[in-house]
Amino acid sequence: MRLTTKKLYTALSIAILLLAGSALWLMNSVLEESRRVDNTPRDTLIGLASQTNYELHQLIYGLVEFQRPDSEISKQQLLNRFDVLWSREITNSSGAMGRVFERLEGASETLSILRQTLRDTEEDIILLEKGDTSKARKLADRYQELVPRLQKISTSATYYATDLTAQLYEQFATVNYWTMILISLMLLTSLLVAIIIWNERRALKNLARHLEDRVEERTTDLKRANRLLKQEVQERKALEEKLIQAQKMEVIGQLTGGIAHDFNNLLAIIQGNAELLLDYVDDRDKKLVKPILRSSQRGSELTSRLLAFSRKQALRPEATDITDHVNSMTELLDRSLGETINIKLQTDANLWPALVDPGQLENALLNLAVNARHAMPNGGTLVIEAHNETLTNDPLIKSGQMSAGDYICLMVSDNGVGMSGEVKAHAFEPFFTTKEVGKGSGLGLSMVYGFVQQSGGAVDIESTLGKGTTVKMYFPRSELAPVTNPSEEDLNPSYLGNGETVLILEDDLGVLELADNLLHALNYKTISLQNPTEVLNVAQSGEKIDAILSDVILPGGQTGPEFFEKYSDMFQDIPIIFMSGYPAEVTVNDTNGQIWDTDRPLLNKPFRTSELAQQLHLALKRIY
Amino acid sequence: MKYKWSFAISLVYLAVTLINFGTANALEAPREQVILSITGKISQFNTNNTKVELDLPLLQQFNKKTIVTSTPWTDGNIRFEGVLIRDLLDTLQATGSQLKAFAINDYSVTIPIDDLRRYDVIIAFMRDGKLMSIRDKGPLWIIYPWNQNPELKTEVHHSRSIWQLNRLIVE
Repeated sequence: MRLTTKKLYTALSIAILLLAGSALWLMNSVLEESRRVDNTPRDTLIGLASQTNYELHQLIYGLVEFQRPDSEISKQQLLNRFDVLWSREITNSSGAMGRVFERLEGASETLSILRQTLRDTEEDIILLEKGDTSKARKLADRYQELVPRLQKISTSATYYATDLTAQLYEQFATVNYWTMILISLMLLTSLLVAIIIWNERRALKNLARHLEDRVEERTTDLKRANRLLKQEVQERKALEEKLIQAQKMEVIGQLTGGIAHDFNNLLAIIQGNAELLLDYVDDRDKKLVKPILRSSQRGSELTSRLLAFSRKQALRPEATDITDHVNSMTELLDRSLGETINIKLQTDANLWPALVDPGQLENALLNLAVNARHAMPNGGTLVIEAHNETLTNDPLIKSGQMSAGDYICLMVSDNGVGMSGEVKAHAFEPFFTTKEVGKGSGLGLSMVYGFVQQSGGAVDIESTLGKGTTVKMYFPRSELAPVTNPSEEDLNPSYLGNGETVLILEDDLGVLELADNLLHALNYKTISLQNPTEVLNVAQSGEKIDAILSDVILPGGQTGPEFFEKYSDMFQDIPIIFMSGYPAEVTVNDTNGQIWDTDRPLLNKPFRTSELAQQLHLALKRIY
Repeated sequence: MKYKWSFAISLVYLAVTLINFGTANALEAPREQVILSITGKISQFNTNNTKVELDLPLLQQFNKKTIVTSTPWTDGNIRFEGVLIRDLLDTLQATGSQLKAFAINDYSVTIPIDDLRRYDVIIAFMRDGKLMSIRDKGPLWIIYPWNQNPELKTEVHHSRSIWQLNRLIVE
């Protein structure tokens, strides 16, 4: 393409040069020709010939006239005519004009005859006298002879001029012909040049426009990239904050959980022994034991809340219709929050069932409502909203707090005082409170946090100072339809045993003794063991065992469920109740994740006599 | 020396002419053979208050102008001496736009006054220092300065170069 264009340009340049040369040549030849023709006396030549002719006639006429007596012609005039004719002869034979004249056919000869005649007659004419008729006639006759010759020359001059004019016209015709061709070629070339220039210009324009477009496109791209980058930086920052927050909470949770676990075991012993003591001491001493019981019970409540925060409470998640629970909570909330708080419920009609412990869900709602009430001292609106959300790319997912999937989002919003960034950063930490000392435990939001996290969801706070706070809880969607709550049987402390044998496996001697004492009090026989090997020995001895009460964590690193699963042949048909002060224990090596198998009875340490009685009663009756 | 004398004579003639300009009949009457007669739109006369008749001495009273040029009718360069026609016309206070010139044989041409204003066109009476006979296209010949103005070398201007001149009519 490029080569062809180059060749075309070269060809055009050559063509233009050739055309210009031709035009120059043409113009030059036209000029030269016209100059040649102009320099050639054509009309003057005819004039010369005819004038000579005329002067000859004048002389002849003068000679004839001079003889007449009444002639008006003087001798001088006659001589003048003679001289004039003579001057013609000189004119016709000298100068450029004379040379041209002499070339005419017969001109040279005629001129020499004329010259001779003039010389021959000069004397006669000068001496001619008036009345000398014969002499005058003789002279006139002599000159008369010249007339046809001069006439012939005049004709020749005319031919010559005509011929020259014809030549000129012929030349002009040729020139005209070539001019036509040249002009056509020039027009064609101009057209080509114009087309090329137009094309080049268009190409250039296109290029410029294309470039502009590209630049604009690029700028837009860069701007977009910049915006995305900024957005990403912001997101990353937010994510990092969330991550740090999550890690912090994790650490605090572990710490809290560890303390709470050990503390719980201590409480279990205190509470159990205090309960036993209550049966043995007299009324006076009961006054001393009861505060111990109350305190240990409060301690137990505290540790359970701490465990809740550290995601180690025993949850019984089930497919739950959140709308139902929110509705049933409304009345309670209405009453407890007071008249200044307006409650608004907004739940989606097609809300998915959530996999969550309904009791804890209500507890969490209550906690959040109380916090909201606290944030709105002058009254306001509490909005409880629930809707479905499918999360794929949320910061909560990116920060690893939950995995992508379907969630039910439960939001509790107030239009109260809101939180500062500082407060927001610590809001979930246990014992962090904005309430006056002694007014709040600082465990409300912590429990909510632990509970939601343990349920496989996540919790998030959005808050603006002066505008209000929104707490969002995400619960995983349940594939099952929500179950309608079966009416739970009341915990009845009168569930006594009928002397059935209960094998107790617990490495902590205090807890073992407690359980042993409680079971005896409930009219059960017991085999108290601290070691799984002893359990196997007992089982092999063939001793009758009606039920087993086992710790979740066993010495030697294995869990209770694992142990009994392993030797399930030996313990067929024997109901097993696990007890734990640290329910996360049960999740070790459990493929079901953090969720405790609801089919298995679990006693949370420290447990009360009534709970143990009920659990055993139900287990022996095979209600589970 | 000779030149000086002619110059002196010219001065005397000029003085006489200047004195004559003061009177009604400014030009002298011719004393010798008349070689040129002028009629038409002129205001100065020397004959019958109708025309100007000039003999050679009268003509020679005017400033002499020399033109060396070739002509189509002669060989080589020729030194023509004569008077500028525009000087002549100015002296006669002519007003026309063209000049009709006649030869002894009644041949005539028309010369635009414009030619005379633009170019130094003369009525020559001498050719190479000699007076001209009729045979040599004399006694008067209108000469254009062809060599000095090549653009004048055209048939039109050649045809206006009338020889054997003896009459002028200002129109």
